[in-house]
Amino acid sequence: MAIQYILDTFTQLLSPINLLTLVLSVFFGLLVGVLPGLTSTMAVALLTGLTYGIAPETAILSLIGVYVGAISGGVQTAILLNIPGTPAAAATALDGYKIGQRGEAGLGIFLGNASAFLGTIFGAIAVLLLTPLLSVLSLKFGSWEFFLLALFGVIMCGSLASGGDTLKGWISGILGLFVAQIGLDALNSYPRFSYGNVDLMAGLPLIPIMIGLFGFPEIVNSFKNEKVKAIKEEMTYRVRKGISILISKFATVIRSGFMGVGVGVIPGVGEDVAGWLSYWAARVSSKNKEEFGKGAYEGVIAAETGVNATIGGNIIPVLTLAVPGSTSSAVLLAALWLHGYRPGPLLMTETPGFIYTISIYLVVSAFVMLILGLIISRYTVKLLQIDKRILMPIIFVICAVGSFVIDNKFFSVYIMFIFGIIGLLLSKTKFPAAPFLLGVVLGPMADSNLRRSLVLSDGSLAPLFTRPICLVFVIIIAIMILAQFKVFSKLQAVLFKKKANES
Amino acid sequence: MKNQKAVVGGIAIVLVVILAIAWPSISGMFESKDTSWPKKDITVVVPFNPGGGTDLTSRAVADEMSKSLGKNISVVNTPGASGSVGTISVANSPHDGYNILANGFMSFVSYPVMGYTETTHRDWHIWIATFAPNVIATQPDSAFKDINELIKGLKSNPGSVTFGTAGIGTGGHIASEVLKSSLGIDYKHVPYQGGNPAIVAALSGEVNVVPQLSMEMVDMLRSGKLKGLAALTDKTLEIEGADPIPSITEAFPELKNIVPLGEAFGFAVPNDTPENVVQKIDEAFKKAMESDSVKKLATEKGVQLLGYSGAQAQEYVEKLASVVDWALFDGGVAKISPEKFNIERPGK
Amino acid sequence: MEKQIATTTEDQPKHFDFISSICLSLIALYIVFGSIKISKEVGGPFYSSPGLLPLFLGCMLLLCSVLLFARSLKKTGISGNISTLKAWFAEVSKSKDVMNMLIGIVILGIFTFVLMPTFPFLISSFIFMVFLMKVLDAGSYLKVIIISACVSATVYTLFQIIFKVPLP
Repeated sequence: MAIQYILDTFTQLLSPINLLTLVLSVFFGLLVGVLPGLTSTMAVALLTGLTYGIAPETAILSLIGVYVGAISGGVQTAILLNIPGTPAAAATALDGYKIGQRGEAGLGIFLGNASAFLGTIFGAIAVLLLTPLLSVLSLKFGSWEFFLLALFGVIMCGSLASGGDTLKGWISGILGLFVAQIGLDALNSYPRFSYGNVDLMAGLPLIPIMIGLFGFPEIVNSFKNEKVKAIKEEMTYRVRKGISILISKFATVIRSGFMGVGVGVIPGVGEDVAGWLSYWAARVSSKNKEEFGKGAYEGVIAAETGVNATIGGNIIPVLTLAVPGSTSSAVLLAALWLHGYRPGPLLMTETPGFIYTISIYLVVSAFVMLILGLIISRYTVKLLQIDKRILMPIIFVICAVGSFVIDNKFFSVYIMFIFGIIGLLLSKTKFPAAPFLLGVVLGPMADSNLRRSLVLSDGSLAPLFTRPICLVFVIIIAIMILAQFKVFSKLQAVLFKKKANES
Repeated sequence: MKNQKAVVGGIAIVLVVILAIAWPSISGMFESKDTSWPKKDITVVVPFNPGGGTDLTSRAVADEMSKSLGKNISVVNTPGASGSVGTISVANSPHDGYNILANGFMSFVSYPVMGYTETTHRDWHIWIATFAPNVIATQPDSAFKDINELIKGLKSNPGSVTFGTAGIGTGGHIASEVLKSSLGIDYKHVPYQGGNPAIVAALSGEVNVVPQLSMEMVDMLRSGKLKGLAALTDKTLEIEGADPIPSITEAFPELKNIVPLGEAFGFAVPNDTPENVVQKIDEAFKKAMESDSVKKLATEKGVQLLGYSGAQAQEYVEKLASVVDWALFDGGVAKISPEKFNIERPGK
Repeated sequence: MEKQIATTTEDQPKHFDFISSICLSLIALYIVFGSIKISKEVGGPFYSSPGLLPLFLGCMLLLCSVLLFARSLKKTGISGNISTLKAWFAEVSKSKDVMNMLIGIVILGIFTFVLMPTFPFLISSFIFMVFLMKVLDAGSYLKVIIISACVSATVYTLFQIIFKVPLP
């Protein structure tokens, strides 16, 4: 049976129209991913409208293609310019940008793309084999777990991205969480910190904040008068070198793949968390922890694999429960409905071959993405050689446009500028911007789930310790915070000793 | 050399300033006076996230409409504040028919009393495409086997049976409020962000009851993962492939005047949109409602096709407004009295 | 003394920690009072009020910034920090880099708040790019104008025509 389905899908794929559609849609997706401001959600939504009239197989293929492309496209700008094309690529930028500055941008992008490819394949395999099993997991996450996951995400990111100064990472994360509280709250629709302003009531838009935080400081820094030497790029990196690095870090790939799929399966938690989580896991289990944040290949590999494995993970609850794992897969779900598929509990009985179709689409999209991504990167690495005084004004225009097109409001462009200033202040005072961004992403989730769970438990905190997944989270969070303070006490001891020696 | 630079710079600045001042009059020149519609692509604003009932219905209908209008219709999602953010954005953009609002009218009529908008449904031209009733559903192994047991449970333990809804002021919450005020029960409201998360919460047992729309849970009902206790309709709700769900009036005939209660999906443009544009939209809408793909959507999703427009639609929304707005106000959810907008109390 | 300042600014910008922790504590206090106000206005049980998480975040922020403040004082003390700040400020106000960056930010601001809302995208982005590249002294007028025109046109085509998203 299974072989029959797979053969059917491949014969469909081989028609020239489908192949062309696949290549075009993956390219379109990559482009969207590269441009900050255009998100995978938007790309899938746009294509849903365009593909409404065409044959369902071609339409679904193009949607999967654009989805895979858009998720993986963010790596390019993250490595080249330290401006993540998608919020999920922020974890990639942490090490990727350093790799690029070392003159190995080509290698960095290769690693990013290749791990994205592996991650996608991993996700596809999970869809094929683990769908019934994992759809159970997506029901295990209740409101308490969501709240703790958000909290854990920010605390983890705070200690990862801060370059040793965890306190500042946490402060940045808290600020981000707070920024997400501005506007009408999700449960009572009470306008928090909005001062009667309608735009503020709608809440601050995420993408302009991201563009401002990451793009703006890079742009302003280029205004310095000093002649920065253009980075010499080793144009001919060896693919073989990239592959051997990947092979040596294969454990990281597998681990990140599992984490990505796991995070993807949980409804409402997107790629960003997966990227950070697998980065964290890679660092915790690495022997060379101090290399992370300074341009470790493993950082890029972990983040990109994790981010892309969520694609498969996200699709699992879409197929079995008709519950999307992220906003982009929500659009995908809508598109499946529009094309006459009925994802949900009936899918397995009505169209049992569909799971095979989807996994194969994922695999071929991943192949096309890898090839196209590498071709594109031949040209994009040249960005580094362009005079920054010409490049940066252009980047700013793209940043402004990217903020505007999110919701066609100038308010979003103003937000980009204001958070640009905040980002500049943060970078000058050595606060990391990534926890801030993740805080903004997870803020709404933390808020509504905390209060929802307190409503459910009548204000009692007991479920934190009686629910097994909760307890695990509580313990991990407690360890992370306590470890931090142990470091403080050690530092203190060292400092006092020095003082004693001096006197 | 330096002087020259300054002169060039000065000229550039003067030019920019002149352009800035003169722009409004120059830009007018580029706009043609042609009044045929549509000349360019049309935007449909869905003020909710993709994949929801409003999104699904409006995409299907808009696609059929674009076929007869001969222009692309792009659907844009601008979620926020029960859909009022997108609604306000349509109201603020030019009233030329190129920006059409798609909405669920149950939440739409609540905006004035919830304090989101100053305008009411009477300021809009409305088309109603489909209707999805609320269904009171539970897990199949729930302690409440039918609607009588549920209401009994609600009465004996006021405020402890949990209802998971798509959020404050959304269809599920309004329906629960209507039940609360007409049956004298009290429940614990647990709002989620959207219908899907609420349904998942009911599946996993986090909440006892989910009173969301038939459309959102139709496959859960078909596969038996959820059990429909009652539908807020005037007669038994038949969904292809699922057990029929009894009308709530069978157990509680006194609810006759509030049913059918549920979300009506459709489109709206501001009242002062040019007459010929409204005419064109009307024709395209009626044609779309006849199409096979919209009919197929209706059977698959377990919704009724209404296809109301003009006065009929306005009348329907007026009745909906009186039921919904007063229920919200009486339940203390809405702070502004419907009287302020001359919305009458529903007749008993 | 001078040497000490140099090392602190390079390795650990403690005077930044000093000043930022003060600013952050003020923000934290504002958040705490704001969220208490919210909880009072909404009423109902405290655990479900919209002010709950902001209050929690405000307290955490206050705690963290107090820790940061204490840490910044550890070696230098208040007066030390203030004198470092003064020295840093004197140095910065003379620096040409900082002036350039400030001018740049102002130009970016003009584009964001004035040019973009008034003109259609093609014109506003063209004016902005020519102006900024000229200020940064990136090349001759011809070169700058050609580059800007190409970029404006490309971005316009890409977004408006290919992606079908409306531009200002």
